[in-house]
Amino acid sequence: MPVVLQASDNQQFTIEKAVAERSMLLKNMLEDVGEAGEPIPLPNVAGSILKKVIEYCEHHKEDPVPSAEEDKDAFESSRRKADDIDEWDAQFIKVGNEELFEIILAANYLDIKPLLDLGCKTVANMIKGKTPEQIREMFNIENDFTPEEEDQIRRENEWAADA
Amino acid sequence: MDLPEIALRVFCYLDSISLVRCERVCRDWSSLLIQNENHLWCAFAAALSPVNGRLPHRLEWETWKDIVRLKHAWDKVLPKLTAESRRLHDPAEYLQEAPTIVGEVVVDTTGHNKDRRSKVSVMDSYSSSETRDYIQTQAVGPHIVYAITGISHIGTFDIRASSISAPSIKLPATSFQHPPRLQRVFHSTLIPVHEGMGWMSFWDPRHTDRQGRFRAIDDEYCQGQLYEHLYACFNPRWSDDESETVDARRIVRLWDVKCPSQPILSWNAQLPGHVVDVALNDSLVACAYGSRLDAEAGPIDNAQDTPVFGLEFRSVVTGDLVRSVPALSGVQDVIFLVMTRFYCLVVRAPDDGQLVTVVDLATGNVAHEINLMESFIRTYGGLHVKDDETMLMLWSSSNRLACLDLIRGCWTLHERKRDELFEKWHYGVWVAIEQNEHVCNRVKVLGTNGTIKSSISDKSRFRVIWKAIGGVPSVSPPSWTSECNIILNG
Repeated sequence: MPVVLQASDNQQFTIEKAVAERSMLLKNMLEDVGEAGEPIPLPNVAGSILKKVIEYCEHHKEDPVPSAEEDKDAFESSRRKADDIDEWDAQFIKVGNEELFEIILAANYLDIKPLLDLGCKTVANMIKGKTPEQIREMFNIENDFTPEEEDQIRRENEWAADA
Repeated sequence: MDLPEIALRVFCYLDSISLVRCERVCRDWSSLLIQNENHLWCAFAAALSPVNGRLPHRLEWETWKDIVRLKHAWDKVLPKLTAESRRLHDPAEYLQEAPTIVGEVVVDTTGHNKDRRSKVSVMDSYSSSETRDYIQTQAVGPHIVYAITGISHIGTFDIRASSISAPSIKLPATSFQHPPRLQRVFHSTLIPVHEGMGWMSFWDPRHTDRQGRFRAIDDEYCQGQLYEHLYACFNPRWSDDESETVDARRIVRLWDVKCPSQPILSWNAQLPGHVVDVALNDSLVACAYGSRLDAEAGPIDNAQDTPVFGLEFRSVVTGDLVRSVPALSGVQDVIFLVMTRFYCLVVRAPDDGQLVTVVDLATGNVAHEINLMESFIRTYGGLHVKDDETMLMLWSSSNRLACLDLIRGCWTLHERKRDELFEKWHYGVWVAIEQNEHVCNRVKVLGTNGTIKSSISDKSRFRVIWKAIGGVPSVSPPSWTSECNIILNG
């Protein structure tokens, strides 16, 4: 039985149930309301982003679904390894910053942990090696520290002199 | 990155340097990182642990970030110390390096034998007594050096603190042949005293009372180190009992001072070997063992008798062997060990000077080898490591003024408060350079009550300098005050 998803811009996507169930949100909804055949509205996800998310879920539809506990354990044990991204995923996530953040937000909303981790790892890899100024510039973040505050934080972290 | 839970998930994938940088990006990130500091830094601290699956020991005031910072600082400083130690082999070079000259000192050698280690006249004046013939020191708390002083033939001894705020402790009279000896301490405020015949007592200087007493080693001698309430020890000397089938020097025991009915752990050093020294921290007991290291063992006749040295680490919980250090195989000249939370310092004295081999406990690898100056030969009194910040104070052991340097070194320490460590931390050594032997026959002695009196004796004059080394430059040298009643040059 196919599942129909409706993005915030009313674009509709018909996908296999196994693909939809990569999302814990959709899996729970399908279990709760049954397979009514009605489009499932996803007001927080734009059509272009939903398309990318579906592409990811289709590629990974055969992957075993980790339980919540397993997922937590896996996250705890591998959380420092941001560079263990497989080739397909690396190609998939090669997108602009804005699209990347939209994918992360969608993965968070739809509760797709592997995609959320992929997005977070990618952002972490972007941050690595950058100075605070470069990070601000990359993410368009305003420096809201006073000069005194900035100086204090810099001194507190002086031990990492190259930081 | 607007959602804190997503930002936090991203931060979990960052290395320590990136995390520090992120703290400087904006207030939101800084606040989030501070709120989740222990969660984010715990994994980095875990990687520093010498025992897999166990976090390193964390002191009450420390965060996991503090632990990582401390190790990071040492990782940066040690190579500099190593480099400097190789560069400066001549004491005179210290003078050329624009050191801070802090004063001059004259050491009274009258009446003392020529064994350099017996030059305790400076320490004796520190103890404020001219009638006591025995003194031995050990540092326990920050700023505090304890000394056992006494009159050997009467058998009366007491423990005196370097600070008047810490009261002295009068030890009960003992009938043992040898005077009591203070033992090494790491992260503990108790004062461990070997009374003799293997009997140990542990004294609380705050209340001047005894916290425990038991026979730690079934032999005449006992040597060890206290960590919090754990005491690791061994018999450092050959037994006189020729009928003994098991060499007592192979036995290492670990005691809980609070429950001394029996040792927590006990094991024999692997053959062929006897224990040279033990030291411990929160998770490991380091045991250095060797064979035929002493003259007592007789001359080496053939290749089979080639001395063997080993260093191994055992769990303080199970006694199981955690790792050995094969890189040190073949080293024959170990004097003593020093343990911190991150390193084991193997202090050695080959013919051409003194070496400190630094073993990283997390990996078991030899991380650095610090070559002390040629003029700095072994001085047992130099082992005074109380915490991770001061472990290299053993640098301050000069063969000519060991005890003096020792005291001053200890008084250079600052009690650590959060974020204060790197502002007040001194890296450096006291160096005593002899100016002229026996030039000063008439000197003035600074008495304990501040009076000056004359004395005629055989003196040597030294120039004492402070040399900052590597890492964070010290703002000023440690103070050179009259807290210590040294004999000043008139």
